[in-house]
Amino acid sequence: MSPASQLAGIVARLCTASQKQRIDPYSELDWPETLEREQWFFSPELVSLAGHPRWEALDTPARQRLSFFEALNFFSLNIHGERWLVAGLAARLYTQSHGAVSPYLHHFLDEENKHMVYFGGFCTRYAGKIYPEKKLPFAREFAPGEEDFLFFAKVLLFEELVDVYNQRMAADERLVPIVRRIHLLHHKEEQRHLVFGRQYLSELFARHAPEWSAAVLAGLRETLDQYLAATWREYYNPEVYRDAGLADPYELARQAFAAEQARALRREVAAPCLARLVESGILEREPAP
Amino acid sequence: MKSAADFRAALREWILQHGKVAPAELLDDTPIIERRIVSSVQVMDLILFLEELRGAPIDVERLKPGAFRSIDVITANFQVGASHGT
Repeated sequence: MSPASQLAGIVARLCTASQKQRIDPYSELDWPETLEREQWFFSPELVSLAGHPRWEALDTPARQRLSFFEALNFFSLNIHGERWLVAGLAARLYTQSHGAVSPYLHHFLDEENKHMVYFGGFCTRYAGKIYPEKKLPFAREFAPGEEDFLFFAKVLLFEELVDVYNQRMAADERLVPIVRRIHLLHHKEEQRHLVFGRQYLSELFARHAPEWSAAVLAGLRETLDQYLAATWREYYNPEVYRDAGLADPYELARQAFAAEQARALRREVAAPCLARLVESGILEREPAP
Repeated sequence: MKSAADFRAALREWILQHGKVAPAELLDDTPIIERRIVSSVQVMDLILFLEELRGAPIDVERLKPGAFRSIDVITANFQVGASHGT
């Protein structure tokens, strides 16, 4: 079977699944009026400070308060990722390069828009704010196909990491039920997005890479390395530490990011995704965590 | 609060440490984004560094294109008291 017909089959199956398993974000969640902050909102093992001496020095209520702001950060960065994703998908709908996958782009876009309803719902209801984005894209020139490839590659990297957190926290019985439910709902639809993203990225790479120079390919791989590092960096947000009452939040963010336990977690979370990208030839090696 | 000279020196040090440029080639008006000395994905780290340096958050939604053009422009925009992003 050719890659194109394989992709067409996947698109058809994913469209059917999206139609049959539609989630209404307005009726699927039963929002508590208020939430006491001394509960677990983020799995303690996934908290960005886990293992750091400052974490070890906190008592359980202080760790739980920090977990609330970690959840707020995770949901905020999902909102920002999805805003960018929705804009990118809308720009590609029915264009010549993406005509074959446009039926699924409709579902992808629709579902990402709905995800923001529950992520935004949590942030605005219980914190009254969303942490601002710090990533800033700059316009530059691209080789043919490079911009599209980088868009879908960044989407895939972002979603692969998020989905590991979603799966773990959906299953974590220590967490507040509304938080677990949000992770579960997100994971259900992200599974399809990941199937699509993995297949489509391989197809785009096969389509364009033969035309790219060695310099373009090297630049593209470096961009993905840097994007992965920047994406991880957002998990260590000084504003989270400040809101949780921790001193020296910027220094703490640097220390937490550099800590060996944090590196090990990042390596473990990203490993399956990076192994696939190396196996497909998109990356030459796995970037350092 | 850091003086303009201290701010400028710390910023220069950050760019040399994180960007792709030799010290002799980095002037105060060198276009660091246009020449890809600092990549767009590194700007997030630069923003966090500047927030710490100025001791105040940066409102990313207010930033305009060119806000990170060079050491001169960044110092003018982000040193405390400056109306950043203009």
